[in-house]
Amino acid sequence: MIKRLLLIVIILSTVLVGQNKVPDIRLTKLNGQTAQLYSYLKEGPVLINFWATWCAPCKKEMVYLNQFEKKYAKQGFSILSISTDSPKTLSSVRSYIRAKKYTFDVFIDPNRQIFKQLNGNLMPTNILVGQDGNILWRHYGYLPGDEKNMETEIKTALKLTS
Amino acid sequence: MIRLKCLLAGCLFSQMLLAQMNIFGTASLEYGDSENDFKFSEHRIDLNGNWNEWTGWIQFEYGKPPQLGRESIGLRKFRIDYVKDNFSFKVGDLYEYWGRGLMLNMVDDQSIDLDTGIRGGQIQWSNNIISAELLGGNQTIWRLTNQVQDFDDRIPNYKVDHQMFGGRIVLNRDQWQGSVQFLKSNENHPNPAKSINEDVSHMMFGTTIQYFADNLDLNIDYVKKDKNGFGLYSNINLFVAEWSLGFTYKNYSFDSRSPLDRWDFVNNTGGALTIQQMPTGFKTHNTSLLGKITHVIDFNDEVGTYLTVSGPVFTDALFTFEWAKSSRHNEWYTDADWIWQSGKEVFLPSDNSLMNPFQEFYGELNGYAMNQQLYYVIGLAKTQDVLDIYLNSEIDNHKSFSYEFLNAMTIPTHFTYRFDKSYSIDILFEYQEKKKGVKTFSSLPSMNQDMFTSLYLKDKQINRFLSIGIAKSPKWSVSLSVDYADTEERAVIEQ
Repeated sequence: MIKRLLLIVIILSTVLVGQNKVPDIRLTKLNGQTAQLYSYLKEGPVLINFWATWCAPCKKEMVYLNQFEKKYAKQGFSILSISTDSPKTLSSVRSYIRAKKYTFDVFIDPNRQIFKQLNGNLMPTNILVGQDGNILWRHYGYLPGDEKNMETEIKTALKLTS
Repeated sequence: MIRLKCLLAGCLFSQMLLAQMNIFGTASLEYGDSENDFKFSEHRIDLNGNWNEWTGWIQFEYGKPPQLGRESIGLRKFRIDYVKDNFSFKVGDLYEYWGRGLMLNMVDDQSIDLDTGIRGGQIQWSNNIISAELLGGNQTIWRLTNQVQDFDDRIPNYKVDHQMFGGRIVLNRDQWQGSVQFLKSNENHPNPAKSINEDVSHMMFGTTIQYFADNLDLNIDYVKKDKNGFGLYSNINLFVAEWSLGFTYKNYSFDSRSPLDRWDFVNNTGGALTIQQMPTGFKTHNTSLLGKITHVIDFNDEVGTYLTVSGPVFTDALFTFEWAKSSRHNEWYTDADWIWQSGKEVFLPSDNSLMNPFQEFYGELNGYAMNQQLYYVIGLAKTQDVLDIYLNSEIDNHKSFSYEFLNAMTIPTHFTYRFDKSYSIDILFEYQEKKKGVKTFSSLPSMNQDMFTSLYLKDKQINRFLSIGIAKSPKWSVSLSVDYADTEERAVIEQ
């Protein structure tokens, strides 16, 4: 009885007291080199976008992500695009990004370990992280029009809302 | 009283600890029912936490029954990671990959009930130039086979236990990356025919070379397994402005099996391991009709090439052309005693129908139009695949053979039109002409024949798939799908 009570209290504490801060994840670039998430946060808020070459909604959304990064880069905002393509389809990631002339940084997560670590669920998954590392906004999937809401959240993170 | 004090102390301690921790959670709930008794109730909760250099993950599952796989209730996965400067270690359920997965690619894909992770530990040290890692642990793989009793197409019925130990060293130098790796696997294979459990050991050595430049990238993976098995995957991409040209050559030769026991992993303990999830070397389709005829790769015995060209054709439109071709390494035939023998080995994919050739052309145009109001995908695929060899013999200069093949032409399309800033309509339409059947030939005077027997009631099957959806961002979407085939398979009717 005591054990169960203690377990319930700990689980409740987890929900109530636990923070919502992302860890300083090590990211792997397409060329195998690594970078730390917090090195991007030094410049400003970051939108982490999980996608894959087989995911049609992800492709629909990416054109807007590219526009947002260009629009708010001066304010320190950046997009970290993380492809969850498996090692089987990894070779097509760079071709796609190049053909679409996207300028944001692209990373790979072939076994979805970062995706799971950040509680990714559907594709695409977007997580807006503030400069202090706290998660400001999280969104799963993409419906045409979602980019409007996304831009509002980015502007709030950049304190551009009047 | 003492218990109460302990509880209070435990609560305070956990509060203090958790106040410094970051914890996220996610839950997925899936429930299904159908008229043909296909029921499932599969729910999972993932909890992730991090505290300074430590991160942790636990996953609970209630699957009774799950959509696919065995019943599972309770703690399913856990892992603790520690990262400090150049050093890291992990304990628990590991999911790692090396290179392109020819030696190691651990995945957990519940949608197809494939879990190739190991429970054990990994230790790694790395800096900008060199990294070294060691990992080891146990793995239990459940697979589905009709070679043992209790076959059920939803529940795997054959278990193999593995003990693994491996390591690799990776070297980074400018645009080059190279690695050498090894992996040893000790396995326990039940053999129902002999009523024994066989202990089998496999040893693999491999190397990966990558080159990454502005206008070129190159990847070569090679693995040697035991005495005769090997796998080679090489891929080169050339970039000219926004256009890219890719060429892939794969040669997977881990075991050579006759058409009779090609997929029998119960009585053949050699062959590729399940942790070897290698690149397929052809496009893996995710549209409804093309997904149903995707080529089934044979990791034990397949050689192939894959060509891709992609680039922008006009504003916001991307054109892709892909051509994949593969086959087995040998032609298999029966000798005078009706025992299967293998013929001459090839190193490039063959057109010979008795070597299970597969070929697919795929072209696609996708992008935005009408000031980003319309998103479209229009594709065309032509697929040819020899699925199974039933007979191949030559007696007294008279040839006889029989094989099952599939020829298909598919047009997948996808349109999304946005009415205003929040409402949109989504239409997926696919059309497919599919010919599937058995080709039989014999030059024997008594049986002189050259015939095709369709597996459908008609010569070819026409399939159509239509899905219409309406969505309002960011709140809701609803869709209706219709899958239509104009004829059914003979085997289904005969039952």
